[in-house]
Amino acid sequence: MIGELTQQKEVSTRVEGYWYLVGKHLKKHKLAVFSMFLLAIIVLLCVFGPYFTRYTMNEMGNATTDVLQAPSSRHWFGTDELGRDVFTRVLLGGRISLLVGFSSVFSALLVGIVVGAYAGYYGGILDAVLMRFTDIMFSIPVLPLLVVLSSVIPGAGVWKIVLIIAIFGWMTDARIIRGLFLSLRESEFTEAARAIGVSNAGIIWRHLLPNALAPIIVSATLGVGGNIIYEAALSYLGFGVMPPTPSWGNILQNAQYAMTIAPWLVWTPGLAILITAIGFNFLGDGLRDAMDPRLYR
Amino acid sequence: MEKNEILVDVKDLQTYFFTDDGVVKAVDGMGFTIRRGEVVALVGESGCGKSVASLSIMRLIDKPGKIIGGELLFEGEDLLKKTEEEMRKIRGSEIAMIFQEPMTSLNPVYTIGNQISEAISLHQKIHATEAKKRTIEMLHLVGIPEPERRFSQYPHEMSGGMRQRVMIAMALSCNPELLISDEATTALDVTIQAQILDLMRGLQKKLGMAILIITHNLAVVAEMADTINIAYAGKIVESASAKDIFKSPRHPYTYGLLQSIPKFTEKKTNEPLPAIEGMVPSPYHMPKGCYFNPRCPCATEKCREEEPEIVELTPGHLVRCFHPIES
Amino acid sequence: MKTYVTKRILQMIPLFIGVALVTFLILSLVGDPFTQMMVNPRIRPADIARLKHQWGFDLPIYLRFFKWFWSMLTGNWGLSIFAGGRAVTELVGHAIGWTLKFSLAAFILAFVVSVPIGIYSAIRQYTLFDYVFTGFSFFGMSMPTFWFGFVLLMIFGLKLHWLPIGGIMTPGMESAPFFARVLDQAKYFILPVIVLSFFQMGSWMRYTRSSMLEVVHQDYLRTARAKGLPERTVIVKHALRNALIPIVTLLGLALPGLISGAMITETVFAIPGMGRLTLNAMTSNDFPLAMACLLIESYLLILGNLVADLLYAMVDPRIKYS
Repeated sequence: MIGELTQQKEVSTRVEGYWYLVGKHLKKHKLAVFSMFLLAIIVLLCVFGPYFTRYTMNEMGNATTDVLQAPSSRHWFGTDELGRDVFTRVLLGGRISLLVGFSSVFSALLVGIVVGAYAGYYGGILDAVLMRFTDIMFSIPVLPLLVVLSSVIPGAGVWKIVLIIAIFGWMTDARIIRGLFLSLRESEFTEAARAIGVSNAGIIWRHLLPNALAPIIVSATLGVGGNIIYEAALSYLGFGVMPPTPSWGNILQNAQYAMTIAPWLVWTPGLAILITAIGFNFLGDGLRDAMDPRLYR
Repeated sequence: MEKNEILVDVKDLQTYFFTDDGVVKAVDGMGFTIRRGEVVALVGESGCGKSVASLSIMRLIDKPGKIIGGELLFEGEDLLKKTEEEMRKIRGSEIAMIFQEPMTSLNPVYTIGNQISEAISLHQKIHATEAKKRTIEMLHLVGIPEPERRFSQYPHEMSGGMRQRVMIAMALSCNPELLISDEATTALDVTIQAQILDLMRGLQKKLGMAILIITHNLAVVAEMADTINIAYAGKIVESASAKDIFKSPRHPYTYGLLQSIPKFTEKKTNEPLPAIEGMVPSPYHMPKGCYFNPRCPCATEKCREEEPEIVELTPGHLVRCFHPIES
Repeated sequence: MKTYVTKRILQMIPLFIGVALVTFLILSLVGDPFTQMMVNPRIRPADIARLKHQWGFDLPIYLRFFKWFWSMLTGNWGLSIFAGGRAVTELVGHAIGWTLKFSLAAFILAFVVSVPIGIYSAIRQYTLFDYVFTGFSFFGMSMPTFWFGFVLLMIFGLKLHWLPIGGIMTPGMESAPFFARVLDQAKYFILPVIVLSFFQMGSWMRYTRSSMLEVVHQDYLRTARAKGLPERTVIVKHALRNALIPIVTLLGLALPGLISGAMITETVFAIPGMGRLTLNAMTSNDFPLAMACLLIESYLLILGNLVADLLYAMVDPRIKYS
């Protein structure tokens, strides 16, 4: 384990931790660092911003003066067809979108890790069955499947969306982890752990999983951005987060009909999705480069 | 063609790598000569710049590396002054090279016949059927059985030793004046290694080209090389005929290298094999004075302050040391 | 090669059945659609029983699956509830034509644009060209498809009036001469094709670039250069041919994204394709139609992967056919 994670420098013979080196390489990736700050700002804005805006989520203005107002100093992003402040709604929608993004990735990871770890570690029939099932899940196109799942699973809450996005999202993680475990289970430190009587569960969770951390982190980072887009697409199609709860996707749902008269309804939520997704993609890319084991040979 | 004529004269070659962490002087003032038909060895530990030197002769240094100084005279002309177009005509036809990794040095998606005849038709402007005939001849020459069948096989269908034979066939297909062998046998099993070395020696006798053998293993070149150059940290530290190097090494580093070769003739002892103390210095932090001084058993104050020049101690025996070992 | 193809095709059969089973199970989560009809006083219980029997809902679930799967195989897909009792085969047949047409166009466009750019980016790594298109590809990968559609509609449809804002042809053009009709449709296809290919372009450029970069540092390119080959030949003959192998895999990997993207694009631009058909089926609780749609889309995906696999075997001599 120590040998895996640390690196002896030729000259100074100073022992530098793996994560220290990852951090050092990540800092060189300017876009990743920038993205990290950007994402932090977006998260802070969405979480705390709504406490400071003048409007509440569903507060409707005066029917004649406040409906479909263009952006102004009173309404930074304008108002929608019900006279609600779009800025407030974008911030609140961000909470939902980010929540869906993070928690769906987290749940998908849990499933993916369990399936991948057990398939890779035990091999044999268990592996064959789990991997054939993964193949089947991979063969159903994601968005149509999400739409179908969303309409057959009862309920309308945010957590339903998290659940269905997680149901399709675990396969990639499962394959990555299975591949790693297949090779790791033959390694010497697994043999050593087995020799001193560590249980299979102990080997899987305490000895093997930490070695799979780097690809998991990369896949999770890229996954958050991807899942935010899926949530948006699903909500746009009418199968996602249900109004009046705002999400970046469902704010855009009605925008298509309003775009001739109120283009600002289209711009801001879409840009919010785009910028957030770019942020996660850059960060994930930077992390992948920084964690590339080939750098530390 | 005169036997003693100098074919290659490397003078004060400097090849540096400009990395993010600083400049690495991989080759820093290296110099040696190769005569026509001579077998010259360039020996040193990994990181001493021997491979970079050989790639410099081919002018195949990739970024961030760059040849920043010196002269590379080949048949009297400086290769560093040639255009890329002129250089291409020399590569493969006058100077050919084989590499360490036979497993990855051949393109996996083309048949070996295709890859060899490609070189032939490139430099000799002959018809495809003619090139094929010549390729099969070459495969036969390097001892590949059933060359006609092998012609249309892919690299993955062959063993490492066979692939290295293919590489040799490819390199010699245009009758080069100089063959550079960059650790060509290192990745092979010991028995295969011996076969490939035998093959190279035989072909050298038959075809008469000069060979530059790059290796970290003095034993490999013991029976084959005419002249041996010992490289350390980007410079040549000792240069002499093979006989002199083995009989009376003058540089402490050469002596250390020789000591670390196991001798099977001696009686079995419990003594551990002597090794040179310490490690190759980091390319970013070269020691002051003689680069070898931190590891040298006979280093003095002078060695830690001044850098020695290379001097000719006896005719043909050059050493870069203030305190050469007495012969 | 022949045995390899046969083997790959045989391997697909369990996948076909598995996908059908998963689709069936997901959709049977809804339960029995006819129970809902019970509360409707205008439908007689006898009719409900007849319908139940007709759809096989009086059978146990595994028999129902086999009955359904058999009828799918034999092309007896039943009648659609939402489209006023039209045959599901007819609806799907009509929709799939549109989807294939514009997805294929988007696929080709994305391929033709992104593969050369990806390759050039790799050869000229860390140049301005590389930076610009790396930025572009991240942009493409992070773009919500439907929103990009809105933006293009707002600019080219509403603001500049260059292109129509949706649909598939100008009313009245149905009976126009062939070329006029094709030209008219092309106008309607421009925006959807760009929108659908945009996402693909981003990820393909990245993918092509990284697989080319992998090849650029291989030993055999040094061998090729040491032979004296001109740089052009080294890149085109030796590097590109190897980079092509992972790019072929991409064809298979890209299909799911293409099908999902098509669903959104069809909705934004009102194209009556498979995606819209699935959506309409779901919104109107038309389960026979929805099941057929999901199954067909999955089967397209599996077939696409098969084609990619076979192509892979063709370009990589290391694949053993035994």
